Amino acid sequence: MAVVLIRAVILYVVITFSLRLMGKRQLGELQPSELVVTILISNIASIPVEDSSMPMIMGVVPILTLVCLDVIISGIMLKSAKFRKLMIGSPRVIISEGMILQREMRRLRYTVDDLVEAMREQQIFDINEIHYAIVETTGKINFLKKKDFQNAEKQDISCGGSTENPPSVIIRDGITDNEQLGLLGLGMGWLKQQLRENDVSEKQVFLMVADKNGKNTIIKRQEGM
Amino acid sequence: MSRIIVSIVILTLMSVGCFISVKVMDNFTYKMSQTVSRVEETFENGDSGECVAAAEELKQMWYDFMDFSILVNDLGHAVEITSSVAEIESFARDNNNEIYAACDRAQAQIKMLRDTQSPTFWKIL
Repeated sequence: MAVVLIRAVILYVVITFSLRLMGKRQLGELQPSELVVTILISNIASIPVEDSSMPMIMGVVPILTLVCLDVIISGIMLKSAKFRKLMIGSPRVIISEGMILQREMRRLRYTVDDLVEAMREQQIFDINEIHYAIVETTGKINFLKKKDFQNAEKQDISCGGSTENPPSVIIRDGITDNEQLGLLGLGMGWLKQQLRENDVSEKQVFLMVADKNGKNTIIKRQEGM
Repeated sequence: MSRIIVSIVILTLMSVGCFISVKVMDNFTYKMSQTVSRVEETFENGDSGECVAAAEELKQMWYDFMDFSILVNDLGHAVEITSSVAEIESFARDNNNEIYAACDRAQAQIKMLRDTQSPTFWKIL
């Protein structure tokens, strides 16, 4: 049993390292090659954990091989557009200027139901609202609505205003994030002054957020926490 | 870019390691085969002392090798070889003629162990 436990721990470290090596993109969206690697890793990893008669290296070597190949192939795709097209294909237009391109839909093996479902997912219930529809390489369909059906934006109603800076967390659980403080360009002196004005010490702060203009919110730690 | 370099380094190290393991297995199984042949020869010549010594050497060789059991990807096969090696030693001590059959079995198992590790085209398929 100890062997199984140690193997599970080692494989956890190897898989975590592997996913880290594959990068953040892997966690968000899956290209066909990445999907293959992810499915294979989950299957390969379980074998040496379950079967203690098999050396663990038999699981580790294929996992690392697949991940390394995936990273190298991603690198080549970054350099070569032709190779990228070969590996992941290219986005396809299925509705152009309001017209459904039925031949293209058939080529992609997309049914009308797939299209309608994708529309509903994006809160579009009338096909007449769509100007363009594009099937991305991940298989997701993105729509561009006709001008008449697009939501009005501030510039459309001539309502200006500068872009706001999103606030960042600068103290979490009594610990100051010096990096964020530096990025906001506020400095330690400013922070100490704010804490003094609010009559709290750094340790008493549960959460403090601030933006580049120095506008901040302080949430004190509750008693006994 | 650093990810690509790390990947290339890992892949290279693993490839080198895998092919070295094939070479190590090749050399080891060759030596084991030679030792099994020596056991048979010495038994045939009636030199029982030398035969037992060779059988013990064979068993020790196999046990030492099993410390690196990651090189054997089928534990069942390894158990079979362990059993054959133990039998050879026992038959050598008892001066039993069944040692010939045990040696032939061990030779076949060792050959199979070597063959399973060699990355030939048909085996890859």
